Amino acid sequence: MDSIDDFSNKQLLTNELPDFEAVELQVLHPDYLKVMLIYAAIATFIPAAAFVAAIFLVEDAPLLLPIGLPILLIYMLFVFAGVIIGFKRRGYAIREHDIVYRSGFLSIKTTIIPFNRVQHIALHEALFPRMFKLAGIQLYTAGDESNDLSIDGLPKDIALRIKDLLASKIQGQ
Amino acid sequence: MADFETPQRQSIAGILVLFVFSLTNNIRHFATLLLVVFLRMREQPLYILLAILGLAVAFLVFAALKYWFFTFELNIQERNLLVKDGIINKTRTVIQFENIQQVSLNQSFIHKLTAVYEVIIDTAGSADAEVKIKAVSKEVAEKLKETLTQYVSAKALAETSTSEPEQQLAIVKVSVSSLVKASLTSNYFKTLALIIAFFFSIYETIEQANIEAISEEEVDALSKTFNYGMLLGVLLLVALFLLLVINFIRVFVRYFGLQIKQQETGLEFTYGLLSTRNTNIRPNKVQQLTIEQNILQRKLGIAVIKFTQAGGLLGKNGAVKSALDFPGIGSEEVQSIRKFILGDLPKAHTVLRSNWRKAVFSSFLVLIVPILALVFIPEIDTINRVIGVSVLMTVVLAWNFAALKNYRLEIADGYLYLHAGLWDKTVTVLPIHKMQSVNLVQLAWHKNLDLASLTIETAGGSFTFKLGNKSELSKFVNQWLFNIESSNPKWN
Repeated sequence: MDSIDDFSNKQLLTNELPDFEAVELQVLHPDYLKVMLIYAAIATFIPAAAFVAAIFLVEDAPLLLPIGLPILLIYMLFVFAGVIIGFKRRGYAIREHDIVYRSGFLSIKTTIIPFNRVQHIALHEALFPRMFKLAGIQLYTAGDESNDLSIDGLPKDIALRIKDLLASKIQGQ
Repeated sequence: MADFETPQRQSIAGILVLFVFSLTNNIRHFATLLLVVFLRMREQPLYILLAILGLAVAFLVFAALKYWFFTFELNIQERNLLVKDGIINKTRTVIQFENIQQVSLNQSFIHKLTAVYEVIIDTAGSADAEVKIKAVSKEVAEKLKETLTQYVSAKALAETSTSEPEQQLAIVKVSVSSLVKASLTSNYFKTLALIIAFFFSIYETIEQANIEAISEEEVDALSKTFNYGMLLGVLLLVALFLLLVINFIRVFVRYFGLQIKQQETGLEFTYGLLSTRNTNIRPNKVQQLTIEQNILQRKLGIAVIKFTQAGGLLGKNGAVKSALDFPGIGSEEVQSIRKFILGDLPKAHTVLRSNWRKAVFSSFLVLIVPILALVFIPEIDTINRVIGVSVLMTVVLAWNFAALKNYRLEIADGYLYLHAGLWDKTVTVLPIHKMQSVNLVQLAWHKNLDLASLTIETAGGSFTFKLGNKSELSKFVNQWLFNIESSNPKWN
């Protein structure tokens, strides 16, 4: 068992510590916005198609149009606004000892993983990002997978470089 | 037998154990087929009985062959354990002593009947991280455990020489009366929810049957003779009675004879009425420790202690999680167990509280469905609707605001203590160096309020503090990151 002596913090002024809030986040490649818009289009196309089909097929539903259409429009607006605003907020920063990633539209999540807690790294290329020569990296820790880090929308060469860099950081421990 | 250096077979009674195991496994697999066979029983009873007998003999022969071909031996010179298994597909498993994490003895019901033990040898590393020797006599099991533990503990002690606690934890035996107390006072909400679900499903079936069988006049006549208030009262009493009985049986069967022993490598928990479990908890494997006590239990001086552990080591998808909880432990023992696992805990220097919006939000989550139901079910009259909604809201809001008073994150050097709950009060201790990753989540409209929720991931699950002051939390996140990154403390 590690005792508390192993890591007790020598009286250091907390403002002197590096602040993760102060780092400048790297934005993702602009092409990734296109990819996300494709995803959003897919996500909105299905309910929209269902709605149109319902209008033609269901008879005697007077409330369908006045209630259904606004809900559909609000949903579509929400999805696309989420993608566009969410894209601007997304960003990552690689510091000396950890990686910071921020994402989200209405709920903004900042994740920080120290390199000495990373177990392995994977590089993945999904179908749509690959069309734009984009790739993503994923960091695995021993913690819950839902909070493991996945950064998509990086140019492939940069993704590769980050992967190698992180791999060397992990090996160096 | 003395030193296991020649290939050893299991106890001869092992045949019976293996037989029962393969039987139960296959019954599960062939459940539907068996059902069909049983339904056909009437037509050709003799053949089917013969077939069943034949199958049973086949299983017995199979078990005997398995017994015959399963051997284990220690190779002291090469420092490993060799296990040979398999009738046709043979496997040889070699386990180096260095890789053995722990050795535990288990006794299921069938083991108890035949007076044998199962020995489980856990190793560090891959997914198939354990070897089971399914049935050996008590002497062999204990000798084997002792022999193997010598090597394990020698290595474990070398590893953790820094802070092995000096205080001795005497053997803690949880008495039958403590278990009774624990069983009668725990899990009210969980069991209540189960019972309510049960009643609802019964109610639905009865209602469906009613529709078919009973005419409306009969229902009217019934409802005249029945006093609904009394019916409700009786139902409540039955529910309460069921709740106590179910809890009692569950806790009693699972934890009967709970005993905690201190060993060189950790704490050994032995418990169980029908099948005896034997679990070893190593301090450095524990990721979070929770002590839970409700108001009744505090009066009785008992508590529940929970551990979340990092399971196997570095699996592909992170470590396997496992949580263990032990009820009915006296307050003093709880303290000494906590001390053994975590050492002396420093006092908190900062207390962070949660914003009132947390109470409102949790109330909203609880209230939304019942209130919608009250408002939109047409059969309810207006007065009942108003009364229902206002009573529900008052109770739930009062409950959540009272709980908010207790909800707090205490920050000490290297440790976090999260206090939560109103009826079941819990304190969760998280050693900061168990952190795998840290998350701050902020809702867009909480930016100006400077609020955020903190989640720390560990190999034994998440640790979350909701809606605290974001600037304060960020400041501490910086400090924790600094601690972990500057000294790279081990988390398992």
